[in-house]
Amino acid sequence: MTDRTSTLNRLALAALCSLVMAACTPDSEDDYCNHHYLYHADHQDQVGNFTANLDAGGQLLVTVELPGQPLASQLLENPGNVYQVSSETACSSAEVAIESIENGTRASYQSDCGSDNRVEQINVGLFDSLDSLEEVEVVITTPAAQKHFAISRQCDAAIFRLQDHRKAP
Amino acid sequence: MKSILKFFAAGEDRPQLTDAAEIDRQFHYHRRNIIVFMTVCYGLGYVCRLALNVVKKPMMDAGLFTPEEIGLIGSMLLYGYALGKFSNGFLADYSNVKRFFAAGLFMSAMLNFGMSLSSVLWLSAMLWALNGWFQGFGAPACVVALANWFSHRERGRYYGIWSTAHSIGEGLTYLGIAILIALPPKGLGLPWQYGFWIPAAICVFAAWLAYRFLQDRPQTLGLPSVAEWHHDTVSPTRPTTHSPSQIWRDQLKVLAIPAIWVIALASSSMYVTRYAINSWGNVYLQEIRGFDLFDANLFIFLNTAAGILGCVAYGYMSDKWFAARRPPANLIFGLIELVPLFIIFYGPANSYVLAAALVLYGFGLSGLLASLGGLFAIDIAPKKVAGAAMGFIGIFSYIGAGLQDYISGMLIYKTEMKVVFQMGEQSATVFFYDYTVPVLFWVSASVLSIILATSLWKVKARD
Repeated sequence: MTDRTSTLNRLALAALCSLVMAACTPDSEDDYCNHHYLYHADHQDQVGNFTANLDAGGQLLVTVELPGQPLASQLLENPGNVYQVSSETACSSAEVAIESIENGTRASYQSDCGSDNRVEQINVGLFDSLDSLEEVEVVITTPAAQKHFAISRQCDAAIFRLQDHRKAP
Repeated sequence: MKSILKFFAAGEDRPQLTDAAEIDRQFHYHRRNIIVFMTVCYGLGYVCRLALNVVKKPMMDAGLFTPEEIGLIGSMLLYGYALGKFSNGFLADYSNVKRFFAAGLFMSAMLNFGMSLSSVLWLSAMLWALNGWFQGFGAPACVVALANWFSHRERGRYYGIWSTAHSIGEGLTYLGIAILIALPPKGLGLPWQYGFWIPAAICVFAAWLAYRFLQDRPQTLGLPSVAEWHHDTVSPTRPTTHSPSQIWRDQLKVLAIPAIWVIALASSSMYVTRYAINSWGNVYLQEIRGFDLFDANLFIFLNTAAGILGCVAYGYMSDKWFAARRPPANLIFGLIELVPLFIIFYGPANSYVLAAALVLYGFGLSGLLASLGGLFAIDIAPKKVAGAAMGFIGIFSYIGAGLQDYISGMLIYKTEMKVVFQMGEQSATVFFYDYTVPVLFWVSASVLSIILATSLWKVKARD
């Protein structure tokens, strides 16, 4: 092997090692957010639930359950405190139903967005309305897909692949 | 610049060795190294080509790029690759392939590393286009190495061995990278950036292997040509009575053959479906069918693995059952591809049915790929310009694949619905898409491809 070849071999190996080292450097992201999906089941019953179901006819049904928040009913009476829909044409005003559940509150909202209307965005303002709310488990269903995840105040991204013991609705 | 060109140029012939035993020993040693490491390195190089496909979904979920932007970036690789296929074939003929191939792999690794750092659309698109171009160094370098070290009579089977690298590479990417990114217990749950870092490390390693174990022409090591060493009966080289301008005029005549245009369109349409499944299939399976990243990539792997059998079966069936007539085999393989495609997108939501459909789809598609991308075109084109016909169809196909990536991304993005959870200054966003129109686009392209291929039912092969 010539000197030049062995130098190039060494350079290539050095580049490989530096890439591997770069790849193996621990990430600074919060461990809690990265690993919460594994432990979510441990406190699943204590967190809030948010479900939204948008069907092909444009009917939007949103349900919120807040265990441990018996006094939240007044706040939940105003759908604007819970969510706001942005769509090509405005959806109808939501019909609101509030009920008490064991040590908590359940609210449901039904509105008609129209079958030809495209819902572009749903802003969920629950966390801003309820300072004490730390986490919600979410199931959102559209005519095309369903997603199940958790949103925690500690994390800036949704937590997917929840290893829960309950089936998503 | 001169020193760079000199570094990559094929070496000078050395005085030929006279010791027959030493010549035999060196040929055996280098040929074994070349076929093994060429296959391994080409396969490993694939992870740097397909990495984006695996990390697409995590990148979209992170809000880094919209599907339209991801589609644009993905399409740039295909355009770069199409250009690379054209230009690098010429360059490889004049180069020391071990340096040429190693440089391509190394640069591809660096560009993957760069992709992990970029969140700027134009920069990512440029990096990925360059990656496509450098990925285009691999195939010509390997073909030149095969021509230099394996005689005409044995080249077919060694070409077959090297061809397995495509599936090895796709398998490595769709399973290997998925294991890194997928959440435990199926994967390691690493951030999406590792989907570029690890391929980069793998490609640097592959570049080192290529540089260490591949070789320039036998004559540069003082060996005779492989034909002389192998005592191959070399048919006398046809005297080149044509001037370059005459050859160019002949090559242009390919464009006057209507059947070549039909094959080019059929191949292009087929590439739309092929690359739609490879690029967006795993995203679709995660977004719409609810599979996790690992399972989605496992399904895509199944279709690529079945492709190995499809290529072999197509050649055998069209030769043996239809006396080398391609159109009947095209129709059969087209239907084997199309029916499962309907099952994949419109069939029952059952994992086993989906897996079986993807296997069948991959089998049928690869057969059609072997025909439209090669065999059928060579049958129809005059032999002396078969290369030009292949090049024309190849570029057409990759342009189709590239356009597909952007159009699919745009169609998916048009259906985007965002759910934003506001938490004071910060927010978490989850994206929802509807694949109804993109799926229709992918399936329609396949239907068009089969109709076009079958429309050449009466076209006869030229001798």
